[in-house]
This record gives sequence, C-alpha cells and structure tokens, in this order.
Amino acid sequence: MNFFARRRLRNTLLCLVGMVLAYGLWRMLKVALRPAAIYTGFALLALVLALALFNGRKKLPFLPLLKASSWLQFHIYAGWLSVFMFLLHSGFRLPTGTLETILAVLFVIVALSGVAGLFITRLLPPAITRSGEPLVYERIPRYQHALRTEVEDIVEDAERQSGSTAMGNFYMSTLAPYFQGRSSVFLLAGNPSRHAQRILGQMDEYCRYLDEELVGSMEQLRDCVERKRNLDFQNAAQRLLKLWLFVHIPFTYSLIIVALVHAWVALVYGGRL
Amino acid sequence: MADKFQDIRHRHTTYDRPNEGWVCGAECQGKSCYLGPDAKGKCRAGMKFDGRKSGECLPRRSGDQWQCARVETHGGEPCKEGPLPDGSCCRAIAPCQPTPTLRRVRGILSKVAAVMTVALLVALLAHQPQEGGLGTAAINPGPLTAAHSTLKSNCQQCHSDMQLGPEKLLAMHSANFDHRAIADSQLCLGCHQEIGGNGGRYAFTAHTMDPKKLQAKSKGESRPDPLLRLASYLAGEKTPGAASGSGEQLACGTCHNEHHGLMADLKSFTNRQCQVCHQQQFESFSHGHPDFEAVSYPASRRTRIFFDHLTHYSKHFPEKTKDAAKGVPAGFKADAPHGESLSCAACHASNSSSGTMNVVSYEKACADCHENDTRSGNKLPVIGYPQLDLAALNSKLEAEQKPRSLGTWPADAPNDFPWLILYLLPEDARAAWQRLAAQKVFLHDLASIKQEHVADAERVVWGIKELFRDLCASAPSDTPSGQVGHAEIIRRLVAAGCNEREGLINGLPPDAFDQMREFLGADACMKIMQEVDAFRTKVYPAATPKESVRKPENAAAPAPAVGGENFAPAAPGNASESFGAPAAAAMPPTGGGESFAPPTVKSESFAPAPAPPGGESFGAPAPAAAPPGGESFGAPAPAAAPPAGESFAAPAAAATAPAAVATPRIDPLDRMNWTSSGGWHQEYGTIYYKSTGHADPLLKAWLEHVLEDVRDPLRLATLREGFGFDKGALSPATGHCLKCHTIEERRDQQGQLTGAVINWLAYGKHTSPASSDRPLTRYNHMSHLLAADCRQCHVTLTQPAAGQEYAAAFPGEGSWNAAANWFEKAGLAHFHSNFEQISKTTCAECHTPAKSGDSCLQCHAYHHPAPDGPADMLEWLRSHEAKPAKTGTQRADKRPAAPASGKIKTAAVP
Repeated sequence: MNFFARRRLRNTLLCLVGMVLAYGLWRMLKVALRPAAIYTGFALLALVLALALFNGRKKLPFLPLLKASSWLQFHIYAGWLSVFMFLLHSGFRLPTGTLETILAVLFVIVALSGVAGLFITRLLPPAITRSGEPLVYERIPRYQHALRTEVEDIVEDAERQSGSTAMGNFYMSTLAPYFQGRSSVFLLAGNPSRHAQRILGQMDEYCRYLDEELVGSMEQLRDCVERKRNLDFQNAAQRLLKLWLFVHIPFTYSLIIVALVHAWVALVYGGRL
Repeated sequence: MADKFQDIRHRHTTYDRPNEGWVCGAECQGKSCYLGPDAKGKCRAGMKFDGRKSGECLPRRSGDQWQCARVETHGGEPCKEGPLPDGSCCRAIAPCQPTPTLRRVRGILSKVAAVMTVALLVALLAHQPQEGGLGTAAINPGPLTAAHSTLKSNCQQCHSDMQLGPEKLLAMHSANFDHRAIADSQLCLGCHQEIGGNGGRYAFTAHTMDPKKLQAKSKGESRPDPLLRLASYLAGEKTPGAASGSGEQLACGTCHNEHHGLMADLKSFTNRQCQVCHQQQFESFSHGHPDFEAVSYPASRRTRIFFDHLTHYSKHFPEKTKDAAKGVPAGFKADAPHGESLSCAACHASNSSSGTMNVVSYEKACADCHENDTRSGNKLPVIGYPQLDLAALNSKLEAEQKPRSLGTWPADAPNDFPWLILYLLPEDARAAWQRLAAQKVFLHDLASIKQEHVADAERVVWGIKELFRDLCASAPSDTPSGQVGHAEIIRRLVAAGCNEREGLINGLPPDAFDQMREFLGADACMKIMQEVDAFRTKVYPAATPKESVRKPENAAAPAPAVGGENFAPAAPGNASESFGAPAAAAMPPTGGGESFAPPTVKSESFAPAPAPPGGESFGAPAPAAAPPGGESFGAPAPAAAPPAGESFAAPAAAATAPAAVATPRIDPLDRMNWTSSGGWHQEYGTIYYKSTGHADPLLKAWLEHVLEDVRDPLRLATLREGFGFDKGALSPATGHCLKCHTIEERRDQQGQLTGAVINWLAYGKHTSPASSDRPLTRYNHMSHLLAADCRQCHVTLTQPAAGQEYAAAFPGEGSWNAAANWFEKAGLAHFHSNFEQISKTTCAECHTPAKSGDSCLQCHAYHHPAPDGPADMLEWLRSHEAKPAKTGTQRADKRPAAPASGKIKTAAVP
C-alpha cells in the first residue's frame, strides 16, 4: 500500500468516524429533546466556512499554514462530512420553505460541483500525462499559434519544392480549419482524438497521390497533427480542471451568505436569540 | 525539440503569472510583450517609465549610454539600432487588448454571484405578501400543519417580538436558548388554554404538572441505559430524574415541531424520547414495562356506583329470570351466570369520541328493579315543632329569680325531630342547641336538665317559636327581617352557611305551612305570635299553669275559636298527655305554659280521625265518646265516618241531624298513603318531605350540604339523626340514595377528614380524562371491541378471598354510627373489584412493534388534563370531584320542579 492509498484509507476512516459520531450525537440530541437542528446547523456552518478557507489559503501561499495538499485532503473529507451533516440538519427531509429551499439547492450545487471537481482532478491529470507533452495551460494559445505557423511553413516549403499548389490546396481545405480552431471541453465527451484521427485518415488518402518528395512534408504534417491533438486535449482537459471551480466557488459565496441569513432567521424565530 | 512545444531552458521560458488578472492580448500570437498589462487590464505597450518610452524593451543605462535590454524570450538579442538618445526603445510594439485570465473571470463571477445573492435575499425579505413579518413568505420555513394553517398570515401570532442584542448573540449556550422559546410558547397558550391548568401555571413543566408533585411520584431508580444517561445529560439533567422536579421549563417547540408541512405529525414522539426523563426505563412494552398488577390497572379506585356484578349475576338476575320479571339484561344466560360479557352492552355503551364504555342511564339499567327503592324512603320532618318536655323546662324557669314560662307550645309534637329547622334558627339559638347537643341534653327529655343548661334550652325553644312566628307572617312588613316565606327561609339558610339554599327547599309549597298553621289553630298561632313579639321586647310569659297546644285529630276544618271553649288545660308536667277539654275560661290571653287543643267550630262537634302512625293520639276533647284505650279524638269533621274498627266521637252534625238523613262522609286523607310518590306534605303540624324518586333534587341538595363538611356538628347531627344515618348507611330517609351512589372522602392538606362527595354520576361521558384514575393513560374500547369481546380482558372474579369482596370496600350498615369511622371505608384506594386484574401480557399479545404497535403514546398522553396537575390522582380526585357533584346539583336546581301540583295536592290534603 503506497502513501496515497494509506492516506486515503486513513482519511476515509476518519471521515466515517466523524459521521458516526455526528449521527450518534444527533440521535441523542433528538432523544434528549434538545434542538438538534441548532447544533447541527452550527456544525454545518462551521464546516462550510472551514471548507471555504481553502480558497483563502490558496490566495495566501506565503503563509506557513500547512501544505496545500493537507488543506485539500481536509477539504475533500470535510466536504463529505458536511454533506452528511447537511442531511442530519435537514432531518433527512426535503426543505419546504423558500429560503431553505434556496439554501438547500445552493448546498447541493456546491456539493455536487465539489464532487465533480474531485473526480475531475483525480481522473484528468493522469490522462493529460498520458496524452503527451504536458503543457502550461496559459501557454497553450502561444503554442497553438506556433504550431499553425510551423504547419504553414511546411506547406509553403512543399509547394516551393514541388512547384505545385496541391499541398496548399490540401492545407486550405483540410488542415487549416483543424489547426486554426481551438478545442472546447466537449472534446472530452467521447474520443478526444477523433478529430486528429479523421485528419490523419484524410492525409493517408491524399498521400497516395503525392510525389515522393512531398511524402516527407506530409510526414511532418502528420507529426504536427499529432501535436495538435495533444494540444487540444491539454487545452480541453486543463480548461475543465479550471472551469468546475466556476461553479463551485461562486455558489459557495452564495451559500455562505444564504446560510448566515438562514441561521439568523432560525435563531430569531426559533426562539434561540 | 522540434516535436515539443515547451523549451525548458530558462532563457527561452517566459515567467507566467496565472494569478494575475490580465494577460497580454498578443499572447495568442506568441508575441506578448515583456511588460504585460497592468493590474487594471491596461496595455502597457509604449508606456513611459521615467520619461522613457518602452518598446520591445526598456533600455537600461550603462554609464553614459543606453543599452538595449531585449531578452531572448521577447525578440532575441539586443537590436542593432539600439536605444534612442533619450533612453527610449527604438522598436515600438503595437498596443494590444489585454484579455482577462480565468481566475479574474472566476473572481468576477463570484462577486456577481454574491451580489446577486444579496439582492435576491433583500428582495425576498423586503417582499411582504402577507402582513405581520419581514418577508413572511420568504422566511417561512414551511407550511404549517392543517390545524395551524390559519395562522400562516402572521408570524407574530406564534413568534414573540424579535429583540436582538449583542448579549443574546453571545449567549449561545443551551441554558440560555429557551427564554425566547418560552416567550413564544406563551403565545400558544392563547389558544391552548387547557394546557397547564389555571393561567398556564404548569404549561411548561414536565407533563404540565407541578414539578414537586411530579418529583414526589418519581421512583428514584437508576438509569440502566448509558446512552439514555448521556442523552439525559445533554437534555440538561445533571442527575437522573432532575428534570421531573427541577422546574426546568420546556417550550412547546421542544416536542412540537412546526413548519414541516400540512400533514406533519406534531405529536410524533418516540419511546426513547419518553424514557429519557423517566426513572424507570425499559426496552419495550413487552419487555420491561411495569406490570399492571403493580398499579392495580384498571380498577385502582372505587366505582362510582355500587354495583356488585357477582351478586347480580349469580343471584339477582337468575331470580328475576325465574320470575320472568323485567330487569334482566339482554343476553344474560341463567345457566352461565358469569358469561356476563354477552350482556355487558345492556349496561355499558361504548362512546365513540372518548373510547370509553359508559354506564347507561339509570332508567335503562336500574329502574326496572330499583325504582321502588328510590320512593320507599321514610318521610323527612323538615319544619315543625319538636317534641318538648315543656313541664320540666317550665318548672326550671319558674324557679328562676324572674319566674317565667315558655308560653304556648304544641302538646303532641311528633317524635321525629325536624332537624332541618336547626338551620332556620337564629344564630344564638343554634349555638345554644349545639351546646346542649354537646352535653347530650335533648328537648324531649328535660327531666334531669341541669340548671346551667336551662338558658340554652329556653333559647332554643324561643328560637323555634320565633321561626314559627316569622313564617306565620303573610307580609314582609310583619317580620323583623322584612321577608316572608321562601325568602325568609333562604335568608335563614344563608345565615346558617348554606350555599345551596334554593335547592334545600326545592318545591316547598306555601300551603304546606298554611296547613300547619291551620292545624295548630288560629288562636294558638296568634298566641304564639303575640308571645314571640313580647319575647322580642324582653317580656316573657308568666309562670302560670302550663298548657300546650293540643292538636286536632283532623285539621280539615279549622275554624276560629268561638269563645275558646275548646281549650283544655293540660296536666301540668305532662303536656303530652293532656288532651283538650273545653276551657273557655281557662284561656288566658297570653297564657304562660299553656297547651292548646285546636279550635273547633263547636265544642260538641267531633270528627273521627285516623289513628296516626305509631300509635300517636291527638285530639280535642270528646265529650260524648272516647276511643278504646283511653284515646280520644276530637277534631271537627262535618260528616266523616270513622274507619272500620275504630271508634270515634260522634260528629256534631250527627247529634243534631236525623240519623235517616245520612250525608256522604269525606274521610280524612291518609297522608302517608297519599304521598307514596313523595314530595311535601303537612302532617300533624309538621311539614314533611319524602323522596320523589330517583335523582330527587331536594335530597341531593341536602345530602351534598351535610356531607360537604362533616366537621360541622350541625351537619353531622343532621346527617346522623336527621337523615337517620345513625341507623344504617342506607338510610331510607334519603330514598336509599347511598345504596348505590358511593361517596368519596375529602381531606385537607393535613390529611384530616373534612367531608365527602357523592358520586351522583356513574362513569360516563361526563367523566373527563382529568377525573379518571389515570389521566395520562388512555384506552379506546371502541377499537379493541372490534377484535375482542369483553371477557378477554374482564374476567369475573367468582370467588374472591375473604375480606376481598366487592361490597367490603364500601361503607355498610353500622359504619356511620361513629364519626371516627364514617369514612374509613370511603377511601378511593380501598377497593376490591369484581374482576380479575388485567395482565400486561394480555395487551402485549397484540401490542408489539410488528402488530398493533407499542408506542408509549398509544396508551399514554403527555399533557396532564387536570388543571393544576395532581400530586396523586387519588388526592386530586378527593379535592376535585366535588365539582361534578355541584354541577349536578346546579342542574338539579335548574331542572323544572317535579309536578308541583302533585306535591301541593299531597301536602294540601288535610
């Protein structure tokens, strides 16, 4: 068992113990006719705020507040615990009030986006590594431009050598749209290489009609298509790795605001203030 | 390197800052400038620094020269042209439109989300579709239950004013949580006024009852379940059982959680929640719940009606069956006398609302056999002259320094002392009687009266005469109080401390007293009135020959005395034996110690009169004939024939009229036979009352009055001697009321006996859960009768152990004789049922989680229905069951009087 497996097992056990303890306390509070919703509500709010601190921690990298990986581990497992605490707080019932429904929907969105993010951050990085040369996301536009320029240079050289515009025509009709376009995250829905494979197939078909001297250029273009495939996959995958936070973080702010209002209303009208 | 994008050589690698908000717009072309946009997203291409314009680089100064600072990543080596003289770059770059980074976009999106959330909340909270709260609809956590659904329009109907403060925000401890909750709960009591008793005093205590009393009922056993022990600790109990007596306040919301939907169950409560406070905790109903035997369930108290199932089913009903008489309940089988469940419905009817098996009405269940009992009681002397040893008392008075006598007094007062007149005496006279009673001095036997008791006896006598005088008055102006008749009687009853005054003379007809007055004779009445008037001016009758009023044998024809020739002097010292002889000359105007015969029309006219019961003899002098045995009768009766076997003096008319002209005779009425249905009647100068049947309002009122406070000697004497309870518990004088209606003792806080209440009503729909033995326990017969018949639970106890008989739990004959043990058997807990104890196992057969359920709330209620919560149900019943009884009295008083005409007729018949 490697380090990560051990860590996962340890944290999972800790999370399960936390859930069991929370459930036991909740049951006892219910039996004891104590306001269990108040206690679980405070616990849930504290958990959400603690989870939200992870984002703040990322903005303060210079502070010696544990390692980011430790924060992430806490964020993941405390997130699971908060989901369970939410179920306890709601009494395993669907909310019926307007404010409560909004709050529950926000929590569900944040929780689901968090779960989705967890799976994305666990599944995509290995795929990115397997895909080819790992790239910095911010540099991808530059690389894409460089690749397109390189392809155009190859095509121009080929035309110059052959004195034919056949290669240029092929480029304009088939290769240019591919190399000029940017991939979206939907590329990941399905076979990410499907575009590249289609282009390569067309190149193979076209290759039969080329002169010997142009076959070498075509081999260079095949290499560029392969790099473009990697570039597109890197772009889509890394974009998705960032985009899920577009749901998770903004809704977290909304969640905290609504949760605070809900706590105030509950405490005031519930006779606790 | 050709097939790789990234060049990891540091000189060929730009320093990316993904945390910054903007990137160069030319980045996508691989031509980003080395400066990049500023923090606000403004392109810095061509921007001047220290007066020098930047381009592909910002030249650096080296001595006196400017040198190109272009780096490999942004253009390669230093340019050939070199910097301009002013230090500016010679190779300007085109400005770009910087693009925001994903981080910045995400930040903007987060801010937008936060702002929109706040705006949404403000809109929701500011929106007030309904009155009574900030954003009522928005912050409403959910629909109310159906019962409370009408309250949804106004939060403040259930939530007290919101008063927020820093100190309250800081006081986030459970101990301080409840003050608002209690304030809110107070609003609940606006509708739920029945909770917690008077003013909701105990609305927020455990079981809504007095914590001290609840704690007194706690058993103090340890808690076996550590989980529940922890839960109890979390509930705020520092020690087991503290909650029951700590006085901790429990808000309504502790158990009743609203806003969970229209169909939410506000009474949802688990068995464990019940047990968290209870001392005795157990696993389930079938495992650990206390046995019923230990608490004598369900027959833990006496029945309200004395009904011995055993004797009825084994003796009375079989006998009735043989005689084919009415009164046998339908379904009764003589060969299976104890299979009474088949006939239970004859007397017990299920009530769908309360789930109880109520006793049907007297008319349906009892009247067939017991109606005669209710009418067969003895007559009760109410108002009249008691028997007085006039001679003995007069002799004592004659020996006084101021010799005097008692004046006129009826000679032949009945043996029955009209005890109820004691309530009508002036206060000092009543006090005098009490002193005499304490010394066992009785008016009918004053031969050995001591000198120190003479004054009291004299006062009692004059008190009675005063009463008679005031009741003789026909107009308010004739009495010192300014009241006559019922008003005067009620005034005197009030003075004697009677609260149920109207009920105590219920239906008293005016002519009953009129006949009493006529019976005594107008002259005698006049003399008494004159004597009393004189007495009230401190003038006493002179000590002259003693006389007593002689009663007529027939008061049907009273007439003013004509010359007073019908008065006969009584034999001194033996007034009871003095019978009238005409004594016109002997009639002093205000004679002292006189006894009178009633006036007659003519001295020579005599009328036969029936022999009074008990061998009493009355009479005016009979000049012509005397009855055998020395008895003489002498009342005017125009044409009455003597009853067979009795001899009467010849009527006056017969002496003068020809015998051949026989006129029809009207015999005097036998009042006892005439009044068999009960009511008021006058007989021999005394007004009597006899039970009119079941639920007689007057007897109920008197019994309730005397039993209310048996410490009062007057009431005690009335009960024992007036109603005849000294002769047995089932005094016929009361129409045998207490033969069936059981009594229950009342004691004060010190445990001293104060009185008793009578169970006028059987267990029925009037019996609220509060007045049941176990108000926190409920059982619905209706639902159980669908699956079982009565015998499955109620098994007849055919052979009770000695001393454990049903009847042994009730006061029997002779138990009323001594005040000390009057109520010794009246204790509620002193009871032996006709039925075997119901076992818990009988219930546990069905009440399991898998079958009929075993929730605590199936059989137990949390809120105590009793107003102020009892310490002990028996104690509570003793102190509170007077209310239904009084209510019954009030109902009786308001009830239309029994046919007045019949009563009046009965009493009016001379």
